[in-house]
Amino acid sequence: MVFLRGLRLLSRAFVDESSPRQVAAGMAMGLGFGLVPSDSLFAMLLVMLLSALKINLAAGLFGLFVSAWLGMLLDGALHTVGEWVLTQPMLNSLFVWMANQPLLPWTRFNNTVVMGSLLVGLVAVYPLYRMLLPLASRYVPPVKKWIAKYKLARVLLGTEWLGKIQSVGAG
Amino acid sequence: MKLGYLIPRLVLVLIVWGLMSFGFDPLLRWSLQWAGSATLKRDVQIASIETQFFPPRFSAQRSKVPSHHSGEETFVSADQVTLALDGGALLRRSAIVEEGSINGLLIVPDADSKNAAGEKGEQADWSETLKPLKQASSQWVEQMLSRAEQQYDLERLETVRLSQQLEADYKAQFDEYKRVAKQLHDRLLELKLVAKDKSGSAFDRLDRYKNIPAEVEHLLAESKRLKQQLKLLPEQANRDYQSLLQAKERDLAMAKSELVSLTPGGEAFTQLILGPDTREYIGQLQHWYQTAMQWKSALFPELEPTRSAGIDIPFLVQDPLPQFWMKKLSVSGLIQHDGQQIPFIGQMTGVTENPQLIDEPIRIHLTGDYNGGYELKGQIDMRPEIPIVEWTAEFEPAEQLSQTLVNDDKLSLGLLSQQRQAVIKCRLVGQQLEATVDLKHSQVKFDVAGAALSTSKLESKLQTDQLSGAFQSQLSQSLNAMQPVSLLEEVLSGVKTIEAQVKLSGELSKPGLKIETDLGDQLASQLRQSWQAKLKHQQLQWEQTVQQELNSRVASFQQKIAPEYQDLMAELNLQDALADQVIKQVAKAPTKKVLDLFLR
Repeated sequence: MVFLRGLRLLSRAFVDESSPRQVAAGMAMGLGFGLVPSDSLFAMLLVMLLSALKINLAAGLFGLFVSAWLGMLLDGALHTVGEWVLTQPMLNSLFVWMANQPLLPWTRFNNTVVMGSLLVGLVAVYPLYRMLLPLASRYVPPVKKWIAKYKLARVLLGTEWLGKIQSVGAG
Repeated sequence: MKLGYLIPRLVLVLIVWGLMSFGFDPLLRWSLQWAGSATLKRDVQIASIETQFFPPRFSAQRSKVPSHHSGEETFVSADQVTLALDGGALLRRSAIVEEGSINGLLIVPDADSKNAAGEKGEQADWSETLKPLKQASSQWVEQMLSRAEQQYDLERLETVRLSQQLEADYKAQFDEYKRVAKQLHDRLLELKLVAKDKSGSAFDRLDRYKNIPAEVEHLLAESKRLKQQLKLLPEQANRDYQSLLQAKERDLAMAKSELVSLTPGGEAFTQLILGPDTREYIGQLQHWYQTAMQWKSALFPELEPTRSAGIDIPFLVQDPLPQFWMKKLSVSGLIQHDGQQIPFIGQMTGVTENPQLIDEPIRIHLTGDYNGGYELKGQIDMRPEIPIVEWTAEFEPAEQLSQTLVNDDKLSLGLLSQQRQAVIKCRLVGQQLEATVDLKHSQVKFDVAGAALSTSKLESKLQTDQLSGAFQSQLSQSLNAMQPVSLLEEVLSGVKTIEAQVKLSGELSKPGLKIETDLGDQLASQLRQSWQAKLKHQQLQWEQTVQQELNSRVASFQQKIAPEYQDLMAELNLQDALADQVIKQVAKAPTKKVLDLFLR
């Protein structure tokens, strides 16, 4: 029963942060952060950030998955952006300082693709959020209603929560 | 704070912690196996891996890289690999191994690894370089023996050949003269009988006699012509005699010069004695080179840059470090070579992907036991644009060595060395090779067995030749006394130490080979001196015998010609007298009878 209660709490957490804003924010961050190559420490830090914020984690993880594939197609453009930034003389002292610090070299910030993907990913988060919000507002309530129909969801979430979902779906 | 926010994040943290605590080592093991298999194109296996973060330490147990084809036979395996890393450098993304060790290493080079080196054009095939060495050894022996055989072949004496030819020519000439003289004699006797025949009338006899004088005159003229030809013979015989004397002088000169030139040169000796050793050590040099190339390929794989990986922009770092640096690696184990497992223990330093940064070459030091002790010190300097590989190997086999230098139907020559030492020094700059092999054999002993100049053929020839008994006996004595092999044995018995330096230089694919040693020249000189000493002893008798034989040949020739000449001249003079008788008889008898008839 303790195990079932744990699962129930986990499921509630996903559903609890499932307002259209939270879903749109999770998806936008996942898509943006997922561009960063996974062998960089930046990728790990961004995933930790994604996890720490009060956004929909499921949408965030889905965004990361999609973006990982999308990033392969954008490598050329990301390289160009990263190269431009890394070769700016005014930023050179900053990068030199970073290169001499412990742990920071693990971020591979001096790699053109890593730097390009980090910058493009960070910049793209807000526009993506604005783009995804109307879609989330339209499609999240029917999806929640659809989930609530299933027996497993009833068991995991409990009846009090089901009612809550249904009321959101109706609203 | 809401549980709904905390719980999923705590779960994620727990998952990450669980992965790091319990899943990191298996994940790393799987990653290494996957990466190793992809790089080496072999199924890399690692039994277990243990890692430690503070201080950073890596340990792998029972790793194995199998042979490509079978998948079961080992190519490289190690009982334990331990690496102690520098924590500070690791924070800066540099894997610097302060101290590493590989224990229970087993290396079994296979055909695949050799082929892999060959595909990169780094395989050295020196069979062409060594080919002349092998040929020269057997060529020298064959040349020496065949020339020795020729030396004693009597048919080569011009005097013998010429005298035999002249004898035959004169015999044929005298036979022809005798035949013509006999013909004349017979006809004269016939005419004499006709002249003596008194049957029939005087007119009949006159009629029978009328042609006889003319025919007798003709026979006399023929006899005269023969005599004139015979009178020219002494002059011709004198010329032939002079030719024989000249041939004799030439034969004697040849006998002197060719006996001296029979001794071989220093180079032939060097190749004969040092050929097998040179081949062995150069074979080892080649083997070590190919092993080094395999290791080099493994240590410095040629990575192909991919577009998606981007470019790393280098920023000025105060204390730059290479990405990988093996400061010190101790190894111990076995390497399989020629079916033997050779134990070794060694150390390697300075292995890095960025040799310019650490500014030192890769240094290797190995010691072990391969038919005795060996020590290998080497360095691979990847700092210059063209890498320089230098190494020195010292061998000191404990056991005595018995080698067969030559073993064929002509000669069997063995070498027994109580002590051996070899030092190989090699320097490779790109594809240019400079290598020396210093060889030293101490307390050596040569075994010359079953080696002999075949005298039976010559001796059987002597039996059939029409030579004097004294000559035959002296020649047989010379043959036995001047056997090249006996002399070789005598000379080689004085050799107690062999020292030489073999030099290899030029293009790695086909380097030039040169053996530098005084040994060959010394032996050749000793053999020549020994030969000359024997010659001094034998040559006088040899010359005297040859001279006697040739004199007897010339005298015999003269003896044979003179009586024949005298007999033939006497025969012809006798015929002249007979012809006179016939003419007188024919002139007197019928005329007297006819006169008597008329006077009656």
